[in-house]
Amino acid sequence: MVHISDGVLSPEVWISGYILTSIILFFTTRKMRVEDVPKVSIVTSAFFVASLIHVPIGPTSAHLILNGLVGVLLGCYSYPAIFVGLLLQALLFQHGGITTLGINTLDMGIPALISYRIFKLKANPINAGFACGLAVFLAVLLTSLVLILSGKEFYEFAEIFFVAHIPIAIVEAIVSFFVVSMLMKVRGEMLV
Amino acid sequence: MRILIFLIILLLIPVNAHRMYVDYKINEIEVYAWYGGGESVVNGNVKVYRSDGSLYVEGKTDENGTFRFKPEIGETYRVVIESMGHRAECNVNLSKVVVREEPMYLKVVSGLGYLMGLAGISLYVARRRR
Repeated sequence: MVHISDGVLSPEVWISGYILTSIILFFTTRKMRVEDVPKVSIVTSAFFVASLIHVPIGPTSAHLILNGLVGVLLGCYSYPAIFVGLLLQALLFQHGGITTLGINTLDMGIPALISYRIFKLKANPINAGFACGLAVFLAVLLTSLVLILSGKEFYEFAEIFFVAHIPIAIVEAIVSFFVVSMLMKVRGEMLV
Repeated sequence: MRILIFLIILLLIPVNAHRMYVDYKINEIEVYAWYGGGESVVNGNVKVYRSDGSLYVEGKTDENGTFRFKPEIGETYRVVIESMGHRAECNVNLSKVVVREEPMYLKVVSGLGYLMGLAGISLYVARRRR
């Protein structure tokens, strides 16, 4: 639901999305170490598959995003991870689009970075759950803003759009809570 | 004379009764929109364009994700369906309609394969740089 398809946005919007995304990609991948590559790939594959889990809600359906969890687990590498995950989703599932890749990465990557910041404030599972739930709403908010910027008649859907993501946010908060509490017990050093 | 007419009618009736006609008429085209994985698109905005690009008809998909419209024979249509930022289109050619989707598990497996490949390439590049 937060994946915007090709042809929906005006060229100015998606081109500026690409520009912003490439700037952020440059800064977030600069410090990447060799040791991080396997972890980033595993979390990216989880993100890639998560969008297939659909939750039917009223007239629409929403799916898991997991951008918050990616943020908490990967820190600033979450941005390239989300970029690659979205690229594969666009190519293989036609979920999202190639022209809108920049904007979609922005919509999901910025909340991921924010949730990482929140998690860093207090590194415990409850805070991780909260950060991940919040990331879903931030992603929805950013997507709505982009659609409105593109002059889409979106106001009538905005409410459904937000309501549909309440259960998603709850599910993601619970999932993240358990993932983070398990990782803290088993391998605390994995959480950056 | 009467007998002759009677005979002619008698001969004609069975001939007429065996004559049968078949013809066809296309009344409606049903388009169907769904999200990857099979969830149907409810209340999506549908726009149908003629081959010259002009708008032919517009409407919304029902609870099964379907939308019906009356076509003109010999015309090809481009059907565009939009719903909350999602957009998909297909061409309706009255001689054939083909929509195919590969099985989901194949897509998932190939995606994971790409990711492993990417990880491998980046590890390789990083190692050579050292």
